[in-house]
Amino acid sequence: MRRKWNVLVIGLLVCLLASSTVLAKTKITYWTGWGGDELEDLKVVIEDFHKANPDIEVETTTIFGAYEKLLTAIAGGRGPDVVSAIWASQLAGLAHHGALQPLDKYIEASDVVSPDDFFPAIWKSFTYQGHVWALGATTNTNFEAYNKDFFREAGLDPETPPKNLTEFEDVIRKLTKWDANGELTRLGYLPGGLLKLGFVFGGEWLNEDTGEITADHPRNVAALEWLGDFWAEYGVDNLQNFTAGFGNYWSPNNPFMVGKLAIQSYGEWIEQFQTRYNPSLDYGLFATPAPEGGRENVTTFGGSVFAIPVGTKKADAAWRFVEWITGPEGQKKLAKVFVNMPPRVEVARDPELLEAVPILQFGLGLLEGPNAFGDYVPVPVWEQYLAEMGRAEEAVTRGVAKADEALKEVRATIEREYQKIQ
Amino acid sequence: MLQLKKKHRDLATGLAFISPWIIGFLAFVLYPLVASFYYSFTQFNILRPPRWIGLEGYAELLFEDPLFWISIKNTLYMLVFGLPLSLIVSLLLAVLLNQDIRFKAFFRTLFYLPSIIPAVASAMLWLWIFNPQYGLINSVLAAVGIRGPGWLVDPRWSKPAFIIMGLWGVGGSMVIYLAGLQGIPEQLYEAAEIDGASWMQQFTKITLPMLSPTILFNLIMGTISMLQYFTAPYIMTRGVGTNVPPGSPLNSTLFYSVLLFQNAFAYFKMGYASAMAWILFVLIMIATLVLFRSSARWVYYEGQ
Amino acid sequence: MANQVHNHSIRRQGLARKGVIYGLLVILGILFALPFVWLVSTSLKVDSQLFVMPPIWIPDPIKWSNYREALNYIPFWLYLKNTLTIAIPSTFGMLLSSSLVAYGFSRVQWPGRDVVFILVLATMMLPYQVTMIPLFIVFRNLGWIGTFKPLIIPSFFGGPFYIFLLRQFYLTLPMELSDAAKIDGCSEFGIYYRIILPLSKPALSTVALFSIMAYWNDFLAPLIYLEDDAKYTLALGLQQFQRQFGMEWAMLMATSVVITLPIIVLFFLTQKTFVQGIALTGLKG
Repeated sequence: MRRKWNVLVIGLLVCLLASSTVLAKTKITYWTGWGGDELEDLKVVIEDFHKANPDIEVETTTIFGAYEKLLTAIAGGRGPDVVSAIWASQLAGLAHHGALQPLDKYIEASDVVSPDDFFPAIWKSFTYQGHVWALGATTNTNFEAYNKDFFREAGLDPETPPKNLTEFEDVIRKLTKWDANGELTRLGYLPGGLLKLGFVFGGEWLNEDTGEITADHPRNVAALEWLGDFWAEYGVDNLQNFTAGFGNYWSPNNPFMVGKLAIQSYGEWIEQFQTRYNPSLDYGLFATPAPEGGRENVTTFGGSVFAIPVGTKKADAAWRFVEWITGPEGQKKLAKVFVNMPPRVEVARDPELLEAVPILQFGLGLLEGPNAFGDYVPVPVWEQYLAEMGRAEEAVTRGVAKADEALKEVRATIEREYQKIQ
Repeated sequence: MLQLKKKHRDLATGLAFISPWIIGFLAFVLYPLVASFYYSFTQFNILRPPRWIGLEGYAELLFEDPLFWISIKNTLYMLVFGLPLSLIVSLLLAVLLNQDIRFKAFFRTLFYLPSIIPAVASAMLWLWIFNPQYGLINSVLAAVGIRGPGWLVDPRWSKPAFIIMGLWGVGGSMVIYLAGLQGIPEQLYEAAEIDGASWMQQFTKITLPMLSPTILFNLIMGTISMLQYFTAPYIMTRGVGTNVPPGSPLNSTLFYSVLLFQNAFAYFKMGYASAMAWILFVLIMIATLVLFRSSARWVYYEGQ
Repeated sequence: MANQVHNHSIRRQGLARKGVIYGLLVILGILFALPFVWLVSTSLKVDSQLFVMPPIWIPDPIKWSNYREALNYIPFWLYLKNTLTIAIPSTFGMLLSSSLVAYGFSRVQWPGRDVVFILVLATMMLPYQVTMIPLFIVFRNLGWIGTFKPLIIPSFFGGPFYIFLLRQFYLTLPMELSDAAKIDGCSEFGIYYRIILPLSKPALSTVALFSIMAYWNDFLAPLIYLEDDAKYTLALGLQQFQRQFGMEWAMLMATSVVITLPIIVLFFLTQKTFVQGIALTGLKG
């Protein structure tokens, strides 16, 4: 009899508790950088979070294409409770600006998140000056994609992509086509992206031991010189005018998909675009070829990360969302819908996932190798570093500056900026 | 005594009427002016309180930051080549429209319309017009056998491109010229006609002098807006899909306000940007002053 | 005889002059019209006809659905509502405050008036960039960032350019009007409200039109103050669209037409008042 009563009381209590938590649903605002179809996919994944956590409601807003808004919003005291419209590359700056909350205490208390679960290099990208500022739910790798039909057409073996830089240069030349007036009609490849190319050539952008900016590292200079030589060989005007007709990666006028480029740098997300814009395209993948003295099988990785801005009063609920979406379940779901590499080792190696999304296999190989680098330099002035690198690359490829001088100038500027904020 | 009282009453009435402006001036002009002057001597990222650094920001701008001088040079280019050209074209349009012609309303509308199109929309349109491969201009050039330049992607042609685009939008100053032209008494021309003055003589001896105050007005307004040129270059000069910030190619379209905005809202260097803003302010004051001073020599005022 | 020759040459000279004028007008007219034609033509093309040399001027087929898609790509009606939510009250505030202030600078004699007016003119020279940063911080402290308030409320304190225009207009109205009303016991505000305002309709319409256009086209202020895309204006929305989807030219042009059309329609409806207003206000220098 007594036991019955007990059960009843407990049952009643449970009911009460459950209903009260339903009543006291915590609403958190979440700003994402994903937009368009990806946003819709993301919302579906977030529904799964809602099912598992009925006491939290995530309100998702996209600020796709308007990322500058974030800092002004946080500064304006109107920041979100969770944000993923930022990249690991920005963490140093955001942490330095005082815009984010460190996640250390949550991670210590969590039995879902532990540093060992992630690829070590990727975990490191979440940290700055000894604190963890964000966690990633997705990452990406990059490599070259080539059009096999064009290889066949040029008399190249479509199953053996170039292995080193000299071979690569040769292949590019063979794949490039000119018309009778000397105008480009197809380009073999358009090299660019000095950060990664520096790594491929064996350079580095920051000496992490001394904190010294090493923009003018001799191998970076070599990489930039190579870019300059490439533009000089094909002609600055030719390349400028030809590439001005290129569409973005995500547009139907994407040069690789419409056959204006025979080889283009891509990540695993190539699959989404290819099925959408050119389903019949026969393509293969290879790692960016390195010169002698360079690094083989380089990939950079990046991707949005989930962080909790300062000023939120709902940090605990925010953390539960971050913990879930960067946890094994969230990562696997996102990897499938976005065709993105998961930053957790176990999820990335999950045979079921690799079978469902086979293209991840190639990037996984790169990520597990020794030459996976964050797609940034962990300094608070990274945005400017990137801008200055872009300017140097532009100046050298257009033939108006010399690689070593341009990079020395980058170094001087960034050192100055870096010193100023210390 | 009574007069004094009336004076006081008038003062009170006058101030009452202009009180919205006074409040607005204090809140939205004077305070921000003083504050930005203060910020210009600090390092300030909004999230943390400003830190006093004295003249360091100014010194860095003037002596260390190459982009600052590049942006000054680019802005001056527009001022020296773009502004006079657009003033001449708008004057030409106004003079043509002021003739006794048919379809006047049609032409007036046609020339005026581009200037009221949202800047964002016309930026998109011209981005496409200047496309080196499939754009309007190079297509037309190709039809006559000329290989057009890269326009916005070619540092030699990017500023001329903005000047051309600006010419399309001269409607605003054209309308102001038109109003000025209509204020010139018809008798002056009639008298000149009797004296046998040629069309060109009438233009230089009557139209230009009588119009000179309007020209001064357009010149000053044009200078001020040129120094603040922002929306079109901000939208049109991001290297697409690259890491190049607005101002590409090769910083050739990095105009002053674009750099200022970049420093303020992309790098959050509010103090530095404030210093830039103050330098801009001083430049505008100097330019206005110089134009006013010089105007005594070339502006004709009735009754002089 | 000599007279006849003279007349003849004047006629010939007149004819030549007419020819030059019409020639110039037609050439310039074509140059000014071409971008519009290109805009509309591109906005109706299928993608495969965009990247063709020589260009196709009349799209075939005409893809009207670009417009339907453009209206869906950016949440057009929402952005339109936002734009109007800002433009209408702001324009109202601008008219109300500027006309009051202009009255104080023209129809009331008070010591120091002209000195203060020079100050008003001087603020026209103040670049927005100087006040932009502290204003941002002020509005932040007020908690207005991310709302329409920073875009609307300042307009209730008058704009120097509009104050200038209206003042010039008020000065052209005879002072006797006011004097007569004063004798009838009308207060200064009564004169403003009952006599001057009704007489200023053309000038006020001009200011209203300028002001609506300025708010409709404004880019920098919404860019700074608005955050989530549910609050974007059309101008900001279009730019975000371009940054997100890159060079989808047909769509970009269709969207541009859509956000330009209301302004053009407004201009056509008010053209007469507008031109009249500009002539009336002392813009003739």
